[in-house]
Amino acid sequence: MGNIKHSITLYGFGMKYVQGKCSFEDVLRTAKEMGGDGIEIVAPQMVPGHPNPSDEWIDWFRGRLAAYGLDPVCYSIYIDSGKHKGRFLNEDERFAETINEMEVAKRMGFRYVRSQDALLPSTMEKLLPFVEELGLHLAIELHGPWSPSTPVFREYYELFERLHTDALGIVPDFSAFASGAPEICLNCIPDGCCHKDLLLEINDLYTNTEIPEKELEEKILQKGGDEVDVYVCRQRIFSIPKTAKMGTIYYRTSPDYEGFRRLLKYSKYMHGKFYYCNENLECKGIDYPRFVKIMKEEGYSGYIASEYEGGRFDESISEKEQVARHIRMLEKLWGE
Amino acid sequence: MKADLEERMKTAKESCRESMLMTKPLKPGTCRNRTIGDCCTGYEFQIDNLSYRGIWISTIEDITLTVDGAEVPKSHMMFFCNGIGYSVADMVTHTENFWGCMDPGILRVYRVGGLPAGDHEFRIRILKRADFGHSYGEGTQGYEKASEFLTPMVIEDSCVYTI
Repeated sequence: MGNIKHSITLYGFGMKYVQGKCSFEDVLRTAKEMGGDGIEIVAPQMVPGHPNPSDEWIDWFRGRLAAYGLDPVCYSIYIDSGKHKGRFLNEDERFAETINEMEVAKRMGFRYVRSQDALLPSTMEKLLPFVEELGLHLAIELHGPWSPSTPVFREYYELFERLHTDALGIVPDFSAFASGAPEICLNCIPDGCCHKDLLLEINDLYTNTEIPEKELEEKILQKGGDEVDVYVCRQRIFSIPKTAKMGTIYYRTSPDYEGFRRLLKYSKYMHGKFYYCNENLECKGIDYPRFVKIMKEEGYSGYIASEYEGGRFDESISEKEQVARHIRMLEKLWGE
Repeated sequence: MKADLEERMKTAKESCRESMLMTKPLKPGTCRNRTIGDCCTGYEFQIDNLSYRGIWISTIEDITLTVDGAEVPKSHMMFFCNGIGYSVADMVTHTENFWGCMDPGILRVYRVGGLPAGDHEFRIRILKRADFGHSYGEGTQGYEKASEFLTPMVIEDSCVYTI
């Protein structure tokens, strides 16, 4: 493989795990079969006893990883601000609970901890001595609809610049850089319910132009569609809010390439989010060719986890095949 | 387009329903009467996890259960998870219990004699807050306008259990 390292996020096999169709052992075995250079685990999804797993389970986990030759790279945690009715987690709680989870990550052998933007930059700064003591890298996920220009991510960037540390950073998720809906976005709609060919044309226009949503809706009606098509289009194709929270304006045809470039300096790990990778190794709706080019230009040498989320559009597609294709796509782009 | 507009719209709405759920709440084949020796004080069934990850039981704000058309009084229900039972009204105050994906969540209903043999129609409606969200930045703690925590989502399911 090239200079990027591939991580297999166990989250990609989460649907079958949660549905009881496969065990955790099956998930580890599948991850091993996929190859890659390391794994990521979503703690509240696959760690029994979360957020306080037993020593026995951690010993078992480390033993199984050693048996499969899997390298624990990224431990994904959350800020569960909705835990208390009537109030949100306060900073003291976010601080202490993050330390607890970082300790668990360390005991399990992980090197990176991915948290969420509810962990304020000021709290992150206070956590730095603990991150350094544990020898970890604590990073905040940049997930859609946020973008690098969203104020909080500017604040994180300023924090990292001021502290000159690589112990803190960002995990960019490609959902933050999407241009449109995937080509399988209508797969879950039964045939005969809407004019799929017409809506796929609209999806192409949505992805590749800045034609306002209202005009695209008019186009549907002009071309023989009806209110069912407009409804489906709003639900399945208009997937990116023009105005995200806090005033961030998002242009579908020009995701924040330069913001992505700027954050690479503080990224060791990223979520290669995708919803479908076709036989030609293309993920329509996300401009991987240009983003990989930027990664190469900036000398990115961290991990990218091929994070498949197409199950919500079509459960019949093999997630294993999708992850394998995505890795091949990244390798191909990296080699160009 | 063979079906009429109304029918197609209904299909479209059902197909487009967004959900974080990977399973349906009423876990198939799990309903049974509970007996203690010769006594039967009710029945129970499993609720499958309510997210793609585990959840805090404190995020469950309400459970309404209807069996064979009759609503079960909340006083007659207890939810059990990780070996601890809570009355439905008290779940929101228990922030110590994390309901993992693989931890069985059991809803127990008190009813002398349990359910008679045969098929029974169950309907459940759960109100649940989000465990986490992406609201940031408003106010001193960053959450003053975080609507995802203030407006619980409605999770509904129905099935037929056979005793």
